[in-house]
Amino acid sequence: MKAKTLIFGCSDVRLQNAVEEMIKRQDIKPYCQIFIPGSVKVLFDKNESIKDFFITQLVFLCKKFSVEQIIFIGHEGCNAYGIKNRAYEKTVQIKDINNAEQLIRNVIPTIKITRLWGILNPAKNTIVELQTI
Amino acid sequence: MSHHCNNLMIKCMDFRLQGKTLEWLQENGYFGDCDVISNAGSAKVLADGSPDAKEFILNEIGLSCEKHGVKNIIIIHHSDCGAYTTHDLKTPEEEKAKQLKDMEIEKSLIKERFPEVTIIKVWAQMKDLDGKEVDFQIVQ
Repeated sequence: MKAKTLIFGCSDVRLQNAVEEMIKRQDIKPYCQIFIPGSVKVLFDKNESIKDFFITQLVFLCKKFSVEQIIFIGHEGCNAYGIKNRAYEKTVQIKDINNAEQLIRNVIPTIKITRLWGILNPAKNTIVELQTI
Repeated sequence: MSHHCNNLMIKCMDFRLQGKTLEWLQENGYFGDCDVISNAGSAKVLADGSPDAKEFILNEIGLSCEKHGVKNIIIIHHSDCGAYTTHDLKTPEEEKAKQLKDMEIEKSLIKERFPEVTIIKVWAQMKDLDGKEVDFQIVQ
């Protein structure tokens, strides 16, 4: 069994339309999804056993399903990060996404990594765009 | 509260189920009104994970309940789940029975922490191993 893509994102409902649109537009099927509040934040959890649990799971899935690409997604207004200042929130999340990329590259150097940032439209209260970081 | 949604779905990350699960969400009016936690084995970690892992998942559920006002939690497990291959289950019937038992444990733990939420348990029976046809059944 082979999955072309693994989408690693946040559980937030506001992200779903944008992710569905991305799936329709891009050639990423078949895809696995790991959706956890805060997305990659869990890979750097202070609790070592939690961190190890999710890193092990991520690496296992990539190897088991011969995943070609991982799409890491962060987004504005993420409750799991709980940072009010948007610029600082973006800086912190992108740092975590970059660290996640490094972490996975150390194990699977050839895997393609795509990093996306979800822009929140406060009026619509939904993520309206996924920008490549 | 930054935004509100009524439902949280906890499901497996298995790629064979993604398309049909999305269709099921849309057909049942949950899409756009549902946080989604997607993880290997769905909420299995609540049934047999370490105390830390259980607490972590309950906290994640708490985020949706407390920050987003979730009222219903939909737990979906599915047949031929890779997360259950380590359990030495010899037949599909044994696997289903084990998963249904785990779903009941998961429900009890969630209800204990969040008594106000309604839990909906769903069994996704794959009719073929590619997940081209999946039958979603609500489990009592």
